Amino acid sequence: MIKKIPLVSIIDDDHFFQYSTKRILEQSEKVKDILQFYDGEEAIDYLIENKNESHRLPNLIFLDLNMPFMDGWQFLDAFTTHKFSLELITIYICTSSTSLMDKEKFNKYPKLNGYLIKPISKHEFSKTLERELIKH
Amino acid sequence: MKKLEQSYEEKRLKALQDYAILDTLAEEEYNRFTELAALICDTPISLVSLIDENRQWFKSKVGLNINETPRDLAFCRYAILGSETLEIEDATKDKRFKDNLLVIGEPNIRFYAGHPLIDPQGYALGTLCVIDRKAKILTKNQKRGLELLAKEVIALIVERRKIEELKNFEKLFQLSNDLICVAGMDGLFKKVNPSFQKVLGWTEDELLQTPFFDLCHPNDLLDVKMEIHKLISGKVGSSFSQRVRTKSGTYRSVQWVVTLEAETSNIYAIARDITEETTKEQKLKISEEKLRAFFENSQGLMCTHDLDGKFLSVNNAGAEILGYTLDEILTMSLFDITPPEKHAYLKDYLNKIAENGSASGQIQTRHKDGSLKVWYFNNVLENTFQNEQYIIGNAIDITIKHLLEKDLERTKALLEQTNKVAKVGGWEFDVDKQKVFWTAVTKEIHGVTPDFEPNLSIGVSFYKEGESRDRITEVLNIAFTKGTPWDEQLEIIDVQGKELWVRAIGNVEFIDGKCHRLFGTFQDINDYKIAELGLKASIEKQGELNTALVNQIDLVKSKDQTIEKIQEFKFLADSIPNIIWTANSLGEQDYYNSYWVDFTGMTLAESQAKGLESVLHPEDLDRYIDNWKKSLNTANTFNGEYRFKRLADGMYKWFLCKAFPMMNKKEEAIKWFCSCTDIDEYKRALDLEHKINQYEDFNRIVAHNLRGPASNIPMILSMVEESSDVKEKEELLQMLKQSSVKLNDTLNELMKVLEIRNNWNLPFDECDLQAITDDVLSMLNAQVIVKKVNITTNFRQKTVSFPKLYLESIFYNMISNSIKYGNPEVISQISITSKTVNDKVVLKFEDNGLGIDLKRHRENIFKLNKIFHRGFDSKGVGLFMTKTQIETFGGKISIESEPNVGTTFTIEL
Repeated sequence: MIKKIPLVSIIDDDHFFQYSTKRILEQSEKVKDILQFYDGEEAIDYLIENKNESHRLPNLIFLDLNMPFMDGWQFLDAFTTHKFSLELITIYICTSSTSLMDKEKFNKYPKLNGYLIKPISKHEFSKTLERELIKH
Repeated sequence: MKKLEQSYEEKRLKALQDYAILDTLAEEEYNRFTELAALICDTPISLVSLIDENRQWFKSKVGLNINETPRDLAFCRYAILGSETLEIEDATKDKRFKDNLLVIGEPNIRFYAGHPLIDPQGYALGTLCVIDRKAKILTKNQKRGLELLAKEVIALIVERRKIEELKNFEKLFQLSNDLICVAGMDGLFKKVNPSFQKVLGWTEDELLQTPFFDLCHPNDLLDVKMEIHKLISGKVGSSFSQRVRTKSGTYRSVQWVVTLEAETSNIYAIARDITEETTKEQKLKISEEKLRAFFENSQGLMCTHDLDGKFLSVNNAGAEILGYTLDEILTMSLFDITPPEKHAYLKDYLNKIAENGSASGQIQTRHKDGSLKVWYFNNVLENTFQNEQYIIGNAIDITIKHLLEKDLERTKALLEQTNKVAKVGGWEFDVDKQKVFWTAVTKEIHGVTPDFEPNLSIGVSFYKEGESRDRITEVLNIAFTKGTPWDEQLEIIDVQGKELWVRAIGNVEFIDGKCHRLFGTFQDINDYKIAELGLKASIEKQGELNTALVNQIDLVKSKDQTIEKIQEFKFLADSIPNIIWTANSLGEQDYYNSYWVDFTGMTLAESQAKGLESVLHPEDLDRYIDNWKKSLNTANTFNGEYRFKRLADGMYKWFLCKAFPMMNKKEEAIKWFCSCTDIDEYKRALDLEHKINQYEDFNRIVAHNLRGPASNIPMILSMVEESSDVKEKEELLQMLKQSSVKLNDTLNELMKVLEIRNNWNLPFDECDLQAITDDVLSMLNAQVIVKKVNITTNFRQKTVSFPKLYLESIFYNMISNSIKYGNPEVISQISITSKTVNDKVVLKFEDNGLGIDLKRHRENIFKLNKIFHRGFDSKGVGLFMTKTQIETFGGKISIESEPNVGTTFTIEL
């Protein structure tokens, strides 16, 4: 039986990114369920609400940085503040920014698993999912 | 009430006593009345019963053999309570009497009728009563008979009493030693008693025929007539004395007491012979007056005193000489006015005079003020009528004579010594006798009277408290113990309170190691001393002047130092790599440091001639002049950034200029100190930083807002390529379109930004803030009406210099945001204000809307595509554009906000 990642979440305000990523994840057959959030705050609210029900928490999050209301960095701050563990929930940054300053900021979170620059190819998603599967 | 009755009863009893009728013998007159009453009333018993305190006593009785009964058995005690007849028909049927012993036993009274005996004063003394052993009632006539009889009885009682009294008066009249008479108002005697004959010799007949005034001593006649007249004209009684002629022609002094009876116009007079007393009195009076005149008028001391020395009387002059009032001295004795050391002598005198009957000699007394008197006296012992012994004293004042003698004696003795030791006043202290003697000059220096008697402690007390008194005490002590003589210049305070310098020289007579006598001189050196002190003071004054001079020199030196300081300041100012200048109170520059001279190439004189205008940047000139004037007028710090032209290359450099006023005590600026710091590099750096910030913003926009949608495009295209599903392809193409629109939008915004930035040199318009607000509100009119927004403006600064196009845009964004993000719970209030702060126009847009959680969003507020409220159709462009517009033209924007309270944007232009 092929092992699947139980729950993957996509946090991005870009509708196309959501659409395409969801398709890629579904086609990979390595993901059981997908949770979609269009803003950082929606996502963090969900996590806080289900904090004690681990089966409802995503194993893997693809997080956009540039979002209008709560951006990726703010999400990460809230995530840390509410004592979610980056060891239990793997987060990948997905951004269109090639800005060195963003990259520098990323380096301040040593436990973040990866920094993916849009556009992200199917292959890249595939590798990421596999790495996550090995972890489990 | 009861008290009142008792009081009546007491008076009644007193009246009864006065009639003196109780316990008298039976009298025929009374018996006739009782017998008649018994007959009229047809009763066996009739009584005149008088009610005493404890009994009823029968003055007269028929049919009864007892004289009295206890009062509580008496029927009559009830009868005397009223004024009518009391009738008891049958006593056995009357509560008051049925148990009465006189009813239940002998005489077995059944019937009783009694009428009260009421005297002219209204007191019921008793009754006339009738009694029977059987019950009955009286007829009307019987009752009337009893009543009439009772009135006769009381009339009899009263008359008897009057007769008794008359008898008494007659006896008095006949037997009195006093002269008693009745006279008419015509001055004729009507009745005289036998005393008249005894005292005056006139027979009664002679007197009754002689008008009274004929017997008056002529000198008394007027007075007597006056007295009689007073009596007639209403004076109740009169008392006077006069002399009355006797039959032998001499006069007797009598004292009259006279009253007039108005009804009869009779004068009742009683006189007592006071001739003997008057004569004695007169004699005594004459002798006393003579004595008193002699006593009072004597200018010496006259007195009487007892054998203990206590004064009995003292004459006025004597009391005065002794210093006391008469009242004071009469409480004193000889011992009180004599110095204690003379008391033994005084006792000796008292003994001697008691023994010998007289004494004479000298005696010393002390005046109330302490001064001494010497008297020569000659006194005798006398006896009073009561045979008590006393002494009559008579003394003359020989004080002056005595003093002169004494003084002479002393002066002679002292003169030799005085000549030996010194010149002026002399003094002596006899240690053994503890006596101090001062010569006249010494006394004069002390300001005391010649009769002043000093002693050692008084002498010392003249020395001024402190140094002088301490010193004299010290030298005296040394003299007493060691025999050391002294010569001191000391200060005394004389009797008049005047301070003066004296030279006191003292010698000691030391015999067998013991000090027996001190003597010396006493010299007034006040004038000399004052001159000496004056000299000393002038020398001191000279010293002060010298000190002042030295101080003056120091001041001059310090001024030199000030000059040095100024030079130091100039050196310091020259060594600072900044422009330093000073200006006077009018704002005219009077000093520039060398940096200025080097920078501008102008010397002080050139600068003063050409003015700052020649080096200031033309754009800064007006601002500079305005501010400098403002500072001069208000004496507030001058502060601003201005450009000065550098001589070396003709370039303008930015300087931060600050001038501080130096104030005097009246808070007026008297000098200005200004430094101008070169901030050109800093200004460039600021500019650069600003540009970098702009670049960063731009970079961000490209990274996120452009690259995002741009990166989608190749992905979508590849997915379209891969897809075989038509529906999916269509979906993807739709997304492609969206991405492309978004990309386009972002590019448009970027273009706007670039356009703004490229327009940085757009000319500034003088924008009327109210006009701009009105324009913007007309654009937003519909929303304002729908959302019922209340907008207020308060433009204290009416205009602002800014490109009008952008200012409108800024106003539009601010106001539309406030309307859009209003709090639905409250009525939206938007307030727009302006004012000038530090040369900048400050605009405030204040609302009571939803507010922004700045803890979360502060760093993103002015970033592109950032939103702070979800559920609104927001793109996150407005604030980004506003900031760009403001900053491009040198302004600043900042935000303060609190969720559900409101937001305030502050814009500085």
